Amino acid sequence: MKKLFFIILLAVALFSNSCNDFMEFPPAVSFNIDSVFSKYTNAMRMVNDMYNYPIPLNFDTRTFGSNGTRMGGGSFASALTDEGQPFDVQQGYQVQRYYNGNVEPSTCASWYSSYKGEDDYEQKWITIRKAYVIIDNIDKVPDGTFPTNQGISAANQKLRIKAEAKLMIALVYFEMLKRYGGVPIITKAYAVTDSKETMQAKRATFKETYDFINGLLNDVMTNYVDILPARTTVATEFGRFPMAFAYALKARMELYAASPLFNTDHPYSSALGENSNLICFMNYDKERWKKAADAATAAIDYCLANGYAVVDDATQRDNANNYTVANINYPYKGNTEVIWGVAQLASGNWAFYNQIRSLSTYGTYGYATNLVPLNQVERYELKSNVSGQYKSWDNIQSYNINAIPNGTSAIDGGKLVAAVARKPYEGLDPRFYASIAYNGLIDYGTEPYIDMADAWIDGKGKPDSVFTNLCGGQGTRKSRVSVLHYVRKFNRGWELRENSMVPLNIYMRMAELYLIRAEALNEYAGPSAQVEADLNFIRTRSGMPNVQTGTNQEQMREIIAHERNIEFYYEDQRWFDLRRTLQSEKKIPVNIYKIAIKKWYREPTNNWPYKITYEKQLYSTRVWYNKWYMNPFPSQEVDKGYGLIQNPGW
Amino acid sequence: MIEFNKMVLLKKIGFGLFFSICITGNILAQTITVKGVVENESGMVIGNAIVKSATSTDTCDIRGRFKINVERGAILTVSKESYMSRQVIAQSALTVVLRENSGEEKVDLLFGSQTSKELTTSVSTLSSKSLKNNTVLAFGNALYGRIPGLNVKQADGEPGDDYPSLLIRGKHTFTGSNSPLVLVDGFEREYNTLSTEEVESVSVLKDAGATALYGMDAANGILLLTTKRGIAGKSTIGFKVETGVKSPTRIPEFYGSYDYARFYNMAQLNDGKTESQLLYNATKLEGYRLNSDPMLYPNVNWISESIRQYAPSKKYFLDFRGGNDVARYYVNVGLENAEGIFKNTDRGSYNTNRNLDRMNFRSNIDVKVTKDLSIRLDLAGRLEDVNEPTSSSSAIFNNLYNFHPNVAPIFVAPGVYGGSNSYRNNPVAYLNEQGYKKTHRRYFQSNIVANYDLSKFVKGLEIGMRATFDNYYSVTDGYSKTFAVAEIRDKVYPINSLTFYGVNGNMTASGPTNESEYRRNNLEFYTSYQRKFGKHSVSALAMYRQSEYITGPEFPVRRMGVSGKISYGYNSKYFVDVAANYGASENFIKGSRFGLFPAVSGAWVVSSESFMQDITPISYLKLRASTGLVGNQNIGGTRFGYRNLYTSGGVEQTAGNPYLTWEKAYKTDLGIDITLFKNTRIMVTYFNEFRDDILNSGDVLIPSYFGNAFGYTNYGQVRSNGFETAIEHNQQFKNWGYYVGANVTYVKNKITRMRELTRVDTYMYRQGQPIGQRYGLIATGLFQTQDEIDNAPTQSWGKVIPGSVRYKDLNNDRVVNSNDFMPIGKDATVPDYDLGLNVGFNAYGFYVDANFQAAIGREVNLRSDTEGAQYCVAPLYGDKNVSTFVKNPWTPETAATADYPSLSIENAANNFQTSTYWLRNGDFLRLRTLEIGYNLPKTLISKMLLTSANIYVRGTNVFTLDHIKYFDPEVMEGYPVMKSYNVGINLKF
Repeated sequence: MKKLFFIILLAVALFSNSCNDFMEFPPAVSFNIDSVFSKYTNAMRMVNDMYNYPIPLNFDTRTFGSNGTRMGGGSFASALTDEGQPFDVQQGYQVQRYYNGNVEPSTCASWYSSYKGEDDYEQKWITIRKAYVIIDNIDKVPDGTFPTNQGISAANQKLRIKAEAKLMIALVYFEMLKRYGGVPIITKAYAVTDSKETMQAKRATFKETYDFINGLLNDVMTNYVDILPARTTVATEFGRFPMAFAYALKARMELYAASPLFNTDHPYSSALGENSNLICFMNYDKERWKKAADAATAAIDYCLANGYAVVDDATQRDNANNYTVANINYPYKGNTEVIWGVAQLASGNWAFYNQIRSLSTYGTYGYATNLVPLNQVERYELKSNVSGQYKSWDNIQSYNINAIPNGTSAIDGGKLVAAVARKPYEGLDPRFYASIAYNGLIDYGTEPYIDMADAWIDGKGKPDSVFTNLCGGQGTRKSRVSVLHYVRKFNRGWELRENSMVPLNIYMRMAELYLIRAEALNEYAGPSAQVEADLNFIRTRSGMPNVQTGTNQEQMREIIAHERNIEFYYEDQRWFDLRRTLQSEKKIPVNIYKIAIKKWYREPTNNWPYKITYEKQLYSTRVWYNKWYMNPFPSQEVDKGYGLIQNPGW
Repeated sequence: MIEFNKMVLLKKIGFGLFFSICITGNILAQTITVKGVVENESGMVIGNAIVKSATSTDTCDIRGRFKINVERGAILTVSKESYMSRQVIAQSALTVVLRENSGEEKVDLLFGSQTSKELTTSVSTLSSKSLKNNTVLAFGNALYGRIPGLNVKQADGEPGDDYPSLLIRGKHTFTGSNSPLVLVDGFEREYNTLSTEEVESVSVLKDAGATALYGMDAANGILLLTTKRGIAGKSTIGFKVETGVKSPTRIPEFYGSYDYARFYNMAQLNDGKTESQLLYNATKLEGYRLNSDPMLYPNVNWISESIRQYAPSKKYFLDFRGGNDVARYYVNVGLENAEGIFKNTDRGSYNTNRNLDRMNFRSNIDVKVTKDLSIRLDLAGRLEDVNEPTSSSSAIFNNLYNFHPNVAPIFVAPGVYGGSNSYRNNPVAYLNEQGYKKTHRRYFQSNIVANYDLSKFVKGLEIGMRATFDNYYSVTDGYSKTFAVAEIRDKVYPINSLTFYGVNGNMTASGPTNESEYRRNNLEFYTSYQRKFGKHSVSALAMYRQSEYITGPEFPVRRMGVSGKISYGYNSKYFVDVAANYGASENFIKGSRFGLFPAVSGAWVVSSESFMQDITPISYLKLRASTGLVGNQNIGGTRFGYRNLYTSGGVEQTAGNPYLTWEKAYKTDLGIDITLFKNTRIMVTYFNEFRDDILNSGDVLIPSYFGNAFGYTNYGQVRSNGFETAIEHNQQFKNWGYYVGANVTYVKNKITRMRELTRVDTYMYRQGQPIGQRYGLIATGLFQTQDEIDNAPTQSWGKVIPGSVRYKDLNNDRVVNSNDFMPIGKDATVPDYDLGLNVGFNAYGFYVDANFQAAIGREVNLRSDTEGAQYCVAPLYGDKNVSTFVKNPWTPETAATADYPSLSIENAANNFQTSTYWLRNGDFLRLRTLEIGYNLPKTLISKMLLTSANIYVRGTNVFTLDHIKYFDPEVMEGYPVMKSYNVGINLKF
């Protein structure tokens, strides 16, 4: 018996020894933070991931139709203003909620909802967290794992990654600043072990947030010279931040900070009372315009000294090819103008859905999700020797087609019709043809022309389907869209070659620096030779005449705003330009016009129309509420109860 | 040494058998020698009882045996402390059953047992006697309405897969598991594999005091099953044979072709079709009506073609029980067969019907190796073979319920199944021509227990260990084939050619597939102490336990901890227990794995006080109270939610929460036990539980500048409370007797804290509502006119036509959408009141036993995936069949009397939103078992060497009273709930 007793005791001793291991999960085979930073290639995956959808961009990586672009399925933010319009089939798009005035903080941006608002608030913090994790951990990566072929030391490669992460934080904060005003200032990646009590950051004031961003930018500009490359021209590095971007971002931020929405002691709404400093400086300081102009000058100088230049081949001005190169080419393909941009789509397909007409068999109205109201077409100047001349679209216009000889081939006949169809669009700012597709455009080489017209018969009106194949069947009628213009800016010359081109999201290009300086100087001291020179520089490279001289400050302000609208058309600027200049209340709630195009046939029918008519028609109207000057925080976020103060009116 | 012991063991067993046969002989004329055994109600012998006649007295030995010489017909009085005395008429062979005094019944607990008087906690028990009138394939089905506080939820009736689900005192958490811990002989195990015959007792441990030894596994209560063990001094052989039939309680009915076509046309008219566009013209209708041509106008009742009314089942059970001072044994072997209810499934070399064959066995051996050391060795297992059609039963039934009567005849030519391009799943072929599969399951359970009595050192001290090894394996072999259907070309008759769809394939074998296995190992060391010092009784227990559950390649589920319990009693009046567990789960981060779970409970036996002695109606009165903390480590969310991982692409995944912890259940119980007039027992318990730290989605709590999805945090709280009451009354006279037992459980719960998304309206919040509250629209009737529709708020689910369901626009925004869903109806799983009623009557050997279960305060949504009968209540839309549930759908003509929305083919989504329109009173009363039997008189059977013999007729789920009518009120889809009728013989040697 003693033996048994002993055995039991022994067993007890054995088991109690193994207690600690008994409950312990075996060594992780899965990736954790240590494995991410165990070698360069792993760490770079996280760096690449940091660049993945950091801020709302026109072409984002996510799938069309689900979360899609930030408008909830296809339309760019341009559709919030009169420069854009989504196709009207899809009433579920988030942008349609703006047209109804039906935007609620509860349906904007959240992890829980498939509807995104204009912004994806939570995604901002995800990117910031990634940046801080990289800053905190990149030093752990063993030096020996860094590539050595470019002769850059491992230490400098780590510093470069840190500088990028800091710039990323600055960028994301700026994107929040312009939408929300001040936001909580987070200076680290919270560890999961940080208790809830430490996560009680309040909203910082607008100035604190502005200072925080400035601090990051100055840090990068002073401490990472010669470490962060001034410009990236290597194909594989496109998308990573160059040093020039720090300068450019600073110029843009100073412009915003100087603008009336923020540079004021009278915010657009007094609803926040003593907390109004969350959404503006709470003082007006004219010197902020000077700062913006200086920052733009510094950025221009830095860029020029480092191989950047506004694309301007004198032989390519009149056909706006300079403009197209600046908007769609990679740096290593001659685009010296792009400062930072990314190519996020794996294939060009989504770009075509998002941007231009559908080229496949999707219905007669296509799936083009970004269209152009007549309002924008009307804003393109006539190309003449004098600036400020416009075409009138107000009255119905009719264009006769000369009799087409019998026996003409379908293609030739179609081209004759197209030549007439194009007539209303003749003689405009070359940037119009680079930006917008229109009736009669032969968009790529010898392909059929784009036919957006409805067939009509004299005295009988619109027939059902008799004319589907008239016009030789050559017109791509299926491309008709509701307002009858669409965007071609981002794939001009690449139309129909859907998959072979991955469109760029250009966040900033050098042309903007000139227009920032022109605006800032005009606001600081009124029109000057420098203001005109900057404007004319941008206009000249697209074949447009100089601006009128002798204008006053207000007239010049309009000219500059107009120039930004044309130059940065569909580049995600107008919605924010109108807000920062407090112009939204005048320019957003307007009538939206379309063009109605009819091809007229005689009875009895023959193969060819005899005239084409254009008629300006009211398409819809838009609304504006002053609370829209700032984005709402998602109400789910406010409801978490840690003290996030919602913006006025939401 | 081993050999010798075995010899002794065998001899002793042999002697026991021999003795039990001998005692039946020896009858004298005037003075007889009465040899007998004294037992308690559960068949355990009672030693040292005193047997008295007018002339002599004998005291039983420790095996309960006595021998006394008396005159024939004399009255014997048998008495024993803590038992009620009993008088019997002398016979040569006697088995005297004594009933414990109130408070002296043995109650099996987590570790050992207590008398009910000593018991300070909330425990309800069911003895083997109460289990025996059940015919069930899964043990859990014997528990409906039997134990207050135990809610048993019917599963479908598929033989071998009909395990019910259990809840103790309702639901307590909205994220974690609500399932109680189930222990068999003290260890976590599958209990449904046990047969009712081999179980000695079922205990339901409900409050913190009773369950504290299991710490963080105990919060949902514990169901404890104890199997039978050998009894020294009395050997019995039991044999039982039972045979019967099973039949669906209710099965939905569907219209024939004529009515189907009429309803179809009606729906098309509602959808805006004109007379000429209708699918069924007058000729076709007439064809269906006259049933003139079964080829051209088929009218098939697919259910009656595929389902038979009765499915046979049988059962054999043999057990041996006995032993002596050295060794005791309980051994059983059982065989069971149950067939499925599919029809015409014999395919020659194989059968596609469901068929369950099962063998189970148990061998529980107790050996006293020395005076101080005793060893227990238990082996039990079950082998199961399940034959079934290739498609799952739910798919087969759904296909049956979905297939229209007029699609095609069963056969369009001899051996050629009817069908069409769109309708290829001819239900008869779907069942019979797709092959079959065989699943083999093996369960094995074993216990080894060693107990060493240290009384020679310290009186009352014991140490010991318990180890268990369980094993389960299941595998499926499949044999499948495809089949073709044929359509009569152009529906022209006579048939001159057929168009075939699909291929009659050859049988292909697959497998082994669906392999699954698990192992469960437990190890315990314990020391216990029990002693009485005068009026003081003290007992203490300390134990260490570790367990692991290993399934597949995953990290085993592991638990370890120490538990202790100290009980103190004074003068058999006052009792106090303190119990605690300090235990760990592998599911939490190192350093935060262990938790302490204490509980304290006390009881006061008021009836033992001197001032109560004169109050004769109250023979027993006890007050008890307990309070304590137990936990639930089965918290939901992902396993190992504390870990922080990245993808190989460097993307951080949902942040692990290292603070994740178990749910905490703070429980308080107050109870009173009363016995009136010695034969009426009343138990009332009030209980209250506060469950804290229930998982809540972290994303609604953590600021988004955390920058990552957060998973879960412990945030939620639920309060639940209610009462249980049970009343038992029994009366046994010389030749007849009766008993009545009733129990009622009332539970309610409320989510008192839950962080949720901002809801558009306050009525949408889950906080403040019960767990699992159903949300739906308020139906205000049917639209009568297009005008009414035009003026009403817009309803957001497709077309709305006259006769569509009209809903209330709760927030008055002129749109009825997902923002108009509010809490509707009561829980379908846990009723407000769970009732059980058990009654019995016996006379001259005949007896009747009946067990009723009722649920009051329950509602079901007929259209829900989980509760309802959607194949039956949603006709036509989605190409569904039309069941007889649809009686009088809305049309302009029937508007006044319509009891169903207007039919539609195209889109009836509007009508089938979750709403009060489909909500029905789900209350029911079920006669769960009814047994009528006859116990053959001892005088007769003793000549056949029998100690008892009984024959019986038994029904299960005999009838149901409810408001649902068309389908079973508990399970409305898939394999139907079954009722059964059995006859059996039960012999004891």
